[in-house]
Amino acid sequence: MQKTALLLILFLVMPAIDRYAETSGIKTHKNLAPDLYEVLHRLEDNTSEIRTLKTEFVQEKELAVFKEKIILNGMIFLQKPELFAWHIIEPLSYSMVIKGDTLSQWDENTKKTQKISLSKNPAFQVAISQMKDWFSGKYTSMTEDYDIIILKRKPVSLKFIPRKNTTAGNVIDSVTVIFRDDERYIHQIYIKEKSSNSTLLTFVNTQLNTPLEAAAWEVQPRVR
Amino acid sequence: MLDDHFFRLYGNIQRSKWLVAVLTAVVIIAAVIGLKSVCFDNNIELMLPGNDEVYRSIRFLRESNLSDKVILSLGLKSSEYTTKDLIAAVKKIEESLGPPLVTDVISGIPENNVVEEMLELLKYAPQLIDEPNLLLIEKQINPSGVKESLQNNYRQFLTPASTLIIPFIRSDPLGIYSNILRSLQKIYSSVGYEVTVENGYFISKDRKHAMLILDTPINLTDGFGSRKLISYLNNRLNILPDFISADIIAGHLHTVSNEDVIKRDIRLTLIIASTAFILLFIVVFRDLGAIIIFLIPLASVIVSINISNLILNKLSYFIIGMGAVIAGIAVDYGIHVYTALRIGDSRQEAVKSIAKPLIIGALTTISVFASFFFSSVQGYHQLAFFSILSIILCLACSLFILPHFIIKGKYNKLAHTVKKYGKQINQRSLKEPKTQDKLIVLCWAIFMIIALILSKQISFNSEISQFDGSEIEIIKAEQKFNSVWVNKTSPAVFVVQENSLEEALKVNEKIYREAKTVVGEDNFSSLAAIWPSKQTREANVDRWKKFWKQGKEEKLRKLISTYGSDYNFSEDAFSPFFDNLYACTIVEDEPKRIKIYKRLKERFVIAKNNRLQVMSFFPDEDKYVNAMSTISCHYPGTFLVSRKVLSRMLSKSVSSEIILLSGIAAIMISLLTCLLLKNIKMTALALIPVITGTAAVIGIIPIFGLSLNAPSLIAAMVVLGLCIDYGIFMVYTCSRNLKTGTRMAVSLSAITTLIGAGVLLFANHPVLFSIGATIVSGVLFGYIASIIVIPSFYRLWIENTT
Repeated sequence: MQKTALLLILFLVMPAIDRYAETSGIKTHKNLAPDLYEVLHRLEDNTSEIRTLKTEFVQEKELAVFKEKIILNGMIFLQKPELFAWHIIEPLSYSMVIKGDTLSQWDENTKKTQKISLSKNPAFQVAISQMKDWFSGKYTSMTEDYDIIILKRKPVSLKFIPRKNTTAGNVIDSVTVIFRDDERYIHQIYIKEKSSNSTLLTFVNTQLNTPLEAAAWEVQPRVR
Repeated sequence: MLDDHFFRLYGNIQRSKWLVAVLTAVVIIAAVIGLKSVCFDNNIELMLPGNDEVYRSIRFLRESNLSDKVILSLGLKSSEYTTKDLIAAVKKIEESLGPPLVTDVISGIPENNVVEEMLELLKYAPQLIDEPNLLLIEKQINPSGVKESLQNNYRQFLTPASTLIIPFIRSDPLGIYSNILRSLQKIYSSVGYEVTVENGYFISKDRKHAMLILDTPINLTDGFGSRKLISYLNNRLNILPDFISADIIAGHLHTVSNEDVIKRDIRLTLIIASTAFILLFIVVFRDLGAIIIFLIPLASVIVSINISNLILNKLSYFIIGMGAVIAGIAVDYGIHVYTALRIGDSRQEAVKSIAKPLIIGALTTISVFASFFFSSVQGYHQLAFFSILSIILCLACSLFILPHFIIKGKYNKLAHTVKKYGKQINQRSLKEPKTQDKLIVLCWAIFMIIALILSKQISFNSEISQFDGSEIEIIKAEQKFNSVWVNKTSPAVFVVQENSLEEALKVNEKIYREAKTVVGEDNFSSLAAIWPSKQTREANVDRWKKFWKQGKEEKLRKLISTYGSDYNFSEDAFSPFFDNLYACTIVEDEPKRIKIYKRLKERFVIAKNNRLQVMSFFPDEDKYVNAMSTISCHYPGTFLVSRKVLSRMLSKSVSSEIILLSGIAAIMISLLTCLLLKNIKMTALALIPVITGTAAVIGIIPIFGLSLNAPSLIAAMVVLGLCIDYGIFMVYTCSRNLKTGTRMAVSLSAITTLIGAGVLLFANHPVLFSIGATIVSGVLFGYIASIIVIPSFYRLWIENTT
């Protein structure tokens, strides 16, 4: 029943979230400062060369509901244009795989695979595409919904502040993205919520453009 | 004795003809002036069978805000532009619209505070959770149930999409409010449109279209208001950039377009008819006095409109439309009198010889219209009264006034024509049967057989949409709209009607409980799913308070505290749940602060004429309609509105109505003709044009891919009335060897009728075209049968046997 509740909440609430990225590619944005535009353009150029991504991640969640920080370990797989997988290995086993229009998720508690059609669940579609866009690096298009500040240039560190009158602005205070030294991909994402919850996602052992095993796209228990 | 009265009156009028003329002129002028004060009624119920269910459904569809909404569908014309450009255009249009023609614009779901609104709604759980659901909650408040819930919550907090769901899980750790959310989701899905929401705006699945729903005070039956509204919207849409297309979807468009089509058709038909009549006048009559023939029916109709208005109080537009048809029938009387006067030797003799067949003809035509009094359709009673009055006035003027103003002795084309072509047209011997007569009868029989065979393909079309003469662009825009936005056919509606919202909600709940079992919860979209009556909510609150205060709250706190630590949950992880446990236990009439509820209420509740109607929606399929009809029987004040069933009911009602009326008309014509002619054989002959005309209508209509409908059936009844006149005149001519130019008069009558109806074949409006096709086919063959077949039959059957 609670899994259904999650879906219902997302169905009802998520439509109010902005859709951040467009798929139409890099555009010139009139109101961007030249240096910011140059940085974003450069980053997008680098990430646009990525066809596959395999990375381990460490996610530190500081949520008011928990007494202590929760640390999750897992793996992310990305293969453009349509494949995305998020596998949590510790402290629980959870898998979410997106193949085109279909999202499948599995967890060790229910041990059941649930499939959702994204086109029939536009709320999910919006939420997932948001996540995918962060990982795919379509930053220029985000300038319409976020104010972007360059915190550091080496390595590049950007702060995304959601604009007012966006629903993300009701929930998120800021998103800070730190890139690798070679600027080919993200090193860390730090999400600070207005509720004082925060999430720090650090990518480790990131491999770009390597062949990905078929098992990456299966929802199944991962070895701890 | 009747002859004496007739000619006494005739003589009196003759003696004071100028006084009569002046009085007549005064009456006509007064009638023309009086037209301004005539009240017209465009209420469609007037033209519907007297079926309470039909009236109620039509009235509901007309009065509910389901029909009056206007939708704007904006689309991206080029892939170079994005949804954000589309949304920018929507914002621009939204800002430009306002009162008095547009009172509200709904372009989506407000972006701000959606999460807060959802959480606010969940605070009403004490009012919304009923006893069965409390029992389910009770089953979860145990160690294994709480452990399982906490485990699930832990997992969900760690998933990628946790940010937005955390407030919900904290407010509902056991997932006990999921039913409320599920019900809300179903209600949203019942809207009937496939929408997503981006940046708070309604966007289509393909992300290339946006929708705005406009509220307007303009009723869609208000032609003038509709025109203003459409003009205003088109004006506003001009501000859109070139890469945005815009379609207006509204019943008002149909109102305006139908009006425009009818006006264009009337203009065109008037031009063609006027030209044809002028040519006829110039070629055949060539007599200024003949103008009176055409003025008499016009004057009769105008006077009849005024008298009908005085007696009936209101007249349907349709009845006035039929006035042109009546004028076409009634002009025949003047033609017959004029022809007789011109051909005959003396004025009085001419009138004397023509009066009886004319009166018989008029009586039989009146009997056709009198049959409409047997109808349950109010509008048909109006039609009957108006038509009969027009025919009587026209007949009276033709017999008593026209003869005194036709100047005899002057050269006239008509008499010359008759004399010149006498042998062929009027003087052909009727004494000896010829082989030709047998051939004619044989051909007629073959025609009848063929027509009857072809008539098997005839069908009756009762679809209301066939009467929609809207331009093709409007239909295409709606088809495009449906392909983008509509996921299913329009649902049927179950309506609960009461004096107050509370009473309506109480009944609505009961209906909902029963509907869930017979139709299925997934198929029945009702406000009762998320907002029961105040009485029920008060009972729920009492139950809720007792439930938690009798130890369940304490037990749950302990269980969460005990097992929550396994998952590292903080002590106040689920404090929002406990803080709000008794939050909304004061029962209000409605949750006024929650906009979601307000929007839903607009969809499910209508206030009309001091009554409240609460609607529920379910698929418009026979099995569900039947099931809900059974439920409705147990609840007075409730009813169903199903477009499919309405269409079928209308079809059945209209077709049985018309069949009844046609039968009555046929019997009355036959009986009256027999009564007046006093001879069975003559009656049979007089009916030949009627039978032929009817066969022609039902045989020819299917050839052209047309089907019968209510207006064409009424037109077919008019054909009966016309053809019997031809039959009576020809029978009289054959039996009495009248020298009143009967064939010429019948020919001229048929020509004028064919001109009047034939021009309707140029009309774009489907109703007008339908009437034209029926009358032309029926009158043409009825006329041919009267001129050619009756004399042959007479010679073979009556002359030969005597």
